[in-house]
Amino acid sequence: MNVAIAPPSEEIGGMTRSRMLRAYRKELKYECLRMLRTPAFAIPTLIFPALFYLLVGFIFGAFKATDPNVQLYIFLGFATMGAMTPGMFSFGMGLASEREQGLHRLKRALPMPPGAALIGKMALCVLSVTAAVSMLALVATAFGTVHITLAQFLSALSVLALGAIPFCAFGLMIGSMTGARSAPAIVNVLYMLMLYLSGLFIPLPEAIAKIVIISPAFYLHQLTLHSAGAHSTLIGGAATHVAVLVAMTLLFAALAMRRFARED
Amino acid sequence: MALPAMRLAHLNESTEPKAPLARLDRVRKTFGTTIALEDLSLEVREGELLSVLGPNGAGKSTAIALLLGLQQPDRGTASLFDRAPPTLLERQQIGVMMQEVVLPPDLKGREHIDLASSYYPAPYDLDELIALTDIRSICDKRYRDLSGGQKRQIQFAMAICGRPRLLFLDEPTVGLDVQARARMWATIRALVKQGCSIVLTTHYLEEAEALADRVAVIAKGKLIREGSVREIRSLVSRKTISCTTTLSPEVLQGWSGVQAVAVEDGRTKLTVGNAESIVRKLLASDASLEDLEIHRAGLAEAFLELTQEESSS
Repeated sequence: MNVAIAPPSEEIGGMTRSRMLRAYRKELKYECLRMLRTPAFAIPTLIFPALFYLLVGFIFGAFKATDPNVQLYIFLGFATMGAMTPGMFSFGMGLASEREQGLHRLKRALPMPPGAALIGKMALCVLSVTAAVSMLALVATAFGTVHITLAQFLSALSVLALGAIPFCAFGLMIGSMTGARSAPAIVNVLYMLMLYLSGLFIPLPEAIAKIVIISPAFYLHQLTLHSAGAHSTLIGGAATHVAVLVAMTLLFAALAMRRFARED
Repeated sequence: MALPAMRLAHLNESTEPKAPLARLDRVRKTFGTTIALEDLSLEVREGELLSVLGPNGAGKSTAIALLLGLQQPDRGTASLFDRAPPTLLERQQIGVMMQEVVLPPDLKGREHIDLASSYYPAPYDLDELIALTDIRSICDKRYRDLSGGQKRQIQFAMAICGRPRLLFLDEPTVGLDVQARARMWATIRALVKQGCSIVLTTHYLEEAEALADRVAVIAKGKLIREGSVREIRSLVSRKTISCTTTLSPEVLQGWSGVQAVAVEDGRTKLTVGNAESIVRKLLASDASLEDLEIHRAGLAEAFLELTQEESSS
């Protein structure tokens, strides 16, 4: 008996297109609700880049720079950090605990449309980055520590929102390989390491300066500089940076998928 | 509801061959050097409730994981609706309630069910389902605030929300109070009556006895016996007679057909093969005998004997 009857043309996987899309929408909706109902996680994620920006700027004197290009460089550095945070933490740590708690296994058994849970999480990360970077821009503009036009900001924001995706893939890879207890430590170490190696805030020693090319944060920062028109601080072309980020995303996702396939 | 008569009628039909909805065909599954399943064949037939029983570590969970397509066998085939491994189309026809799942604590029961419903082409209306599973009083609470039994009720509603043709229930009634368990049993019976097939794993043998059409007993990764509850139960032919009697245990022990005698709280308990002849003799020998009860071996005794045989072999 074969019940796998070929679906009518307007159906995908036995469901109409609109019902299928509804499942993706529901995943996003409930991901958002989960985040809003966990303010202890949501608020730090949203305000961390702005707070850290003010802390480093005022206490460590980063705001003493008067060159608008340097101001923009610093501002976009913190914005890049803001784009990294939700993907690495909510994906990395969230997924590791969901795997351990059996939720991942249950969703594999259920007819969840392909990748719906992951796409929902990713979309939430994109929204979180948009909110966190907007918050950062409000704070920076209010304190007069950056001079950025609306067009520059929107252009950089769109790059940063999409730029959250490679870090989601990175978090996915870490979350697929670590347990719920080890994930926070591992994600924190890798996050700090990635920030340091990107040369975003602390210039790397000359001997290892070229190592920035292994940090996805470096490429995203460069792309935001491109998008905001800060040409004096650019290294390499935008197309290369996009290509590298796409390649890194695919690599991280492929490694995560391979790990999932081996799981029971 | 005239459930007992209905169930008996169903039992009598259970020997008729029905097309399998899910099947394990001579599967072997190993994890490292541990053999989880060896040459195991199992079928889930249309419209039946199959209960998979076995001691902890027997391979039940692995067998279910293979049926669900979550794991692949090393040898043999595991198919769901004749498809191996199952695709989204096959999964849309199943419902799953797993044993050890922690759902996101900040969502409400209703929201969990709503999300699960969105995966299916023609799910129940949410309010209809909430009424059917009797969870109105708990479905608007955050999942974290529910008791263990209430969480199982939400998970049960999630499992049946897509009107599945085949439902997998792993220990569905753990932590439930008596009323909630009775309600879930009634819903399970109603689903079977509507044509839904169910695979039930449970540690409560009275649950399997009350609900199952067919029982498969697994031990050490092998199928050691399958059949209707009545067939499995009849494997243990012993019966227990208990009564208050003046006859001494030593005398009773000497009677032919009496396998064992014990005295507990002033009551004498005899383990016998043929109860009727012993009862006649008891009544004839002791005119003052009272509180007579005859207890037939249940599924629990049969299960114990089957699995003990297996572990001593």
